[in-house]
Amino acid sequence: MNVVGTSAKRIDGIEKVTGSAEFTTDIVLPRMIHAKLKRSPYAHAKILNIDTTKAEQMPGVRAVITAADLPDIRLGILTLDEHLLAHDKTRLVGEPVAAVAADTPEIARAACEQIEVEYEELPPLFDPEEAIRLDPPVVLHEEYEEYEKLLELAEMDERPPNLWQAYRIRHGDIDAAFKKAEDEGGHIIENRYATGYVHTACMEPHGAVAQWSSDGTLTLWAGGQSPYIARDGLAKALDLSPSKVRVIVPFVGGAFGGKLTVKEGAIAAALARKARRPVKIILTRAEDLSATAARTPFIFDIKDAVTKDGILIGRKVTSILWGGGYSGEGILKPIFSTHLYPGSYRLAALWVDSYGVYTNRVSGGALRGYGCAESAWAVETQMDIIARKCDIDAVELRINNLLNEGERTAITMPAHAFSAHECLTKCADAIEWETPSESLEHPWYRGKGIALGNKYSFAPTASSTELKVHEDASCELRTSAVDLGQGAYTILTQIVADEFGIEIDKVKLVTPDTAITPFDHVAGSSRQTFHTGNATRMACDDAKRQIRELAAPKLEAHPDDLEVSGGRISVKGSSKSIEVEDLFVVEMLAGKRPADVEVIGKATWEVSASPHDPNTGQGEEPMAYMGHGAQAAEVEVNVETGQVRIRKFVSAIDVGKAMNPQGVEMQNYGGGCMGIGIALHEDMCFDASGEMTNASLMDYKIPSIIEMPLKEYMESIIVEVPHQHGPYGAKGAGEIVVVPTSPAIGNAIYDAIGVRIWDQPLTPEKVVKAWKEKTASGNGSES
Amino acid sequence: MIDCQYLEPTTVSEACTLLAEHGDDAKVVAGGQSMAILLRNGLIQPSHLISIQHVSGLEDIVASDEGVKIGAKVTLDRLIGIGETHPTLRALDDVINELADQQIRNFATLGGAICEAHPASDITVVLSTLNASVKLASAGGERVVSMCDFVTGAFATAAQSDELLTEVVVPSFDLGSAAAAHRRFVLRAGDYPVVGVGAFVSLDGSGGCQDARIVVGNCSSAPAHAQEAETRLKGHSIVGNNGAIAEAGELAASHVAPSSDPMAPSEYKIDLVNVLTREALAEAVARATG
Repeated sequence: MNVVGTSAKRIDGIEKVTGSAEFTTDIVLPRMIHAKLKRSPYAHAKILNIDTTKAEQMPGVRAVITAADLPDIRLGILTLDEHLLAHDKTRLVGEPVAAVAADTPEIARAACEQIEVEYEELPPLFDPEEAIRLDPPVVLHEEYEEYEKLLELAEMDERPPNLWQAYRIRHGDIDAAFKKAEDEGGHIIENRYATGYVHTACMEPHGAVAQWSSDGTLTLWAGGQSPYIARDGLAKALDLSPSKVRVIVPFVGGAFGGKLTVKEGAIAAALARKARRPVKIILTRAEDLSATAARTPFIFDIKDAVTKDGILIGRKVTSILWGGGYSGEGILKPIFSTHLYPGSYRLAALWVDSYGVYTNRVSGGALRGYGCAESAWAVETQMDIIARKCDIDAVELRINNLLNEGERTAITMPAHAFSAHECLTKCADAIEWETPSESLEHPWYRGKGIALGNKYSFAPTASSTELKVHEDASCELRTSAVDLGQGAYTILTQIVADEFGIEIDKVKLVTPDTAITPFDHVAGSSRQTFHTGNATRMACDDAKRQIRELAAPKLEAHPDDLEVSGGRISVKGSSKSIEVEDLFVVEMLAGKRPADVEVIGKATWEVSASPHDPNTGQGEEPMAYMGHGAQAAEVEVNVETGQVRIRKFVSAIDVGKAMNPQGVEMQNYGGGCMGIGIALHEDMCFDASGEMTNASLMDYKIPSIIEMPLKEYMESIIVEVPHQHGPYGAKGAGEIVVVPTSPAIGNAIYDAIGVRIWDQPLTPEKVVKAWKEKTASGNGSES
Repeated sequence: MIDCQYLEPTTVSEACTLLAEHGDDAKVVAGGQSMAILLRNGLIQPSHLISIQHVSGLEDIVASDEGVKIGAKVTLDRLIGIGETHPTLRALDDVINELADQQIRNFATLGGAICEAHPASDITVVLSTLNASVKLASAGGERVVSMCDFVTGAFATAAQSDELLTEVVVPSFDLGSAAAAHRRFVLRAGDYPVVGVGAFVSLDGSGGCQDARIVVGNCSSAPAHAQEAETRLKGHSIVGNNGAIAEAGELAASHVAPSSDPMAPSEYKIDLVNVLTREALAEAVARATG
């Protein structure tokens, strides 16, 4: 039975298409009430007093809470800097300061309006370059030094008071590299790039349902990415033992990195405890867009030393991640984004200073590509500029700089299953790279661009699974892996079916519930196929071992001589066999149980890694694996309106082994669409007070299907270079598909009209402005 | 939760009586597409919603000597391809065929779209370009107001609180020598435009411009005639005269003062007025001569 590697149907497809799939918002419990949050209208203010009297007296209001009702505990991923409800200060517009639970959402909202909060406005700080100064105009966290931190920053003489992350890479002799480029007729190429404010904007907004049982156990239903991160976060926030928290993950309507923690779930839980009733909270679209973590901007200053033959010999980068009021889930981005500075390229010298700073804007979070999609924008645009400067074809230049299998990058990541070359050339072939774009009639211009990308999958990490075998030979996989839409449940089902040689419909999944399913780190960092896939295979092996041991006496054979497939246990090389069912015995009240013990296979797959030295960026193997991919775009640009149409788009990614080729194809298309949105359209806008001004799906421009190339002009290429540790050789596909998109499009725009736009998104207005500047100056040359 | 009374008259006169009774506290709802957004955003808080869903006689599209009359309750979906049956409405096709999406067009009505008076509405722009007028009914009788006078500002119209818009009339013109076109630029399909421009030209026998109307949308609170551009063209050669059309574009652009918003800065909107005015004019001339 070869189920792995086939485009098996999505096992959640029918439920989702018919509307029977249960999401958090569908959950209704007896006596359940509804929560709303009172949010700060100020980006930066002291909270002098909160008066909840009027709200509490409203009919239908069951509980009102403020920070005073919660344990005085700061939360966070690695720097614990954030209270569940603003404590004495608010550091961004929309920060929750109080919460109400009432019989209806409308009453709760009306009650929020009756809560009187007395603020003392403080000057807000929005500019990251002001924020990073040693003498900034405003300090957001006066007590930063006292915060609990699980992370070491790079050493510095004096920490700028708004800095929450500092990381350095010191590899090779950087001065010598620049000197060599200068002395030997090479090039020094220096540019500044910026990414924009992007939101995950999932179809399903953030939400949760919380219920307490009489023994003091909290059950929380929340569509998140990790039931265990959620469980531990809830336990910490509410000062509970983790065993007293049960997290159940229903179907999830998209996450993309935005649902790692369950802040609003913890607030709902606190309200439920006070009201002694189950509480549901579902954020509105405006709240979801404006007050949950976003992909906040990076500023990159990159300086490259290149020989006259186009060989990259040195790179110096300073980057600032424009963080928000709290370090949030973006805490590791200044570190992880550095993987793209070498990327797939050999670099003799790399010198990086990467920072993250607080500002009074929305906190930085994760979004598909965690740092890599941002740094790829700078690096892969830079590669295009280098190619043009050296007058070498952009594909050839990249190939000339690629690592070889077995080498290590400048940050010690081994080049294993190194498929950059194959991804790049297949992508170039598909876009007919050698053939220049046709000329169109003014004001339309056509051009092609290409970019390479990488996406690490982080370590250390672990996944555990359990596999129970029933008497009808069906298998039940218990996993805390989450299907966010990426297809994890289908792939895990395929693995079990494959390992047991049974039909897919004989595999049942027990989905994330911390009371039942074992630990799995997170549905993030493109890790479920790789890690949970490995754990699932191992649990299958363990269950099969138990079955062989149970069957051995019956078959009068050694367990090692038995094989389990298709519901039968047979003696290798003989016709002797029994059915799995024969291992079960009938009990007195006509139930069945296995002859010996329950057949439950268990396994934990673990990848260890030691953190790199934050002062040098050097160490042992830092990540679980590295994904490779290339994308190319042909665009049509109208220089009068600035419109950019994607005429053709190609995405070639290496997945090691396509567990479900159609699933990979959908990642290529879906990721491409998201990447196109990030490159050209999406931009969270803020007014001078720090409030988001386009917090609706009408105004926040997620592209529609019309903005996508037609299906026949969108090509998915699957590259399969097996990874030594991947299950069946497989690697993840979920994030690499958005990494090269922006630079591929930006490079195509340059090819079409000869202008660079340095800051994302590449909106029509910026295209027109850049074109006007170019035509005014009479040339389009660049340094 | 919207706390208001929902009234369902069945005739125009009943609707007018209810409007007279409740005055400013009442709002008329037809398809509900704009109303739902206005209510949700708290832009209006009526105590009474008067639904005209069951009012009959507002759903016809009729050609007459006066022109084409379109009932207020005609959905935008029904207007798809209207230029094929009523060629003087061809410019409406430029707008409706790309407007919003099928679900919205299924319940949005023409009357509703006009009465919302959204500053970025393409419909009010194209109807102004076509010199359309609207018929307003009240307990006291009927009156006709030209589109240009009807929209008085952002979300503001000349309708009195006791008046019901019942019909839109698009006057006839000689298809052999006149035509209109509309051009818009959207950041994403289905969105309100950053800028929309409508152009109408009627030609004399020798390629000269007898009359011109150029209406710009989303650069001020209501659709605005680009009078300087219109003046530049009237009485001058326009067929085959790209210079005149380019000048008209420049003139239209130099006389708008749009404000910046999250969609686009003012400077870019001005650029678009120039481009779209040219494109709409060129298309109108092509249609008039084609």
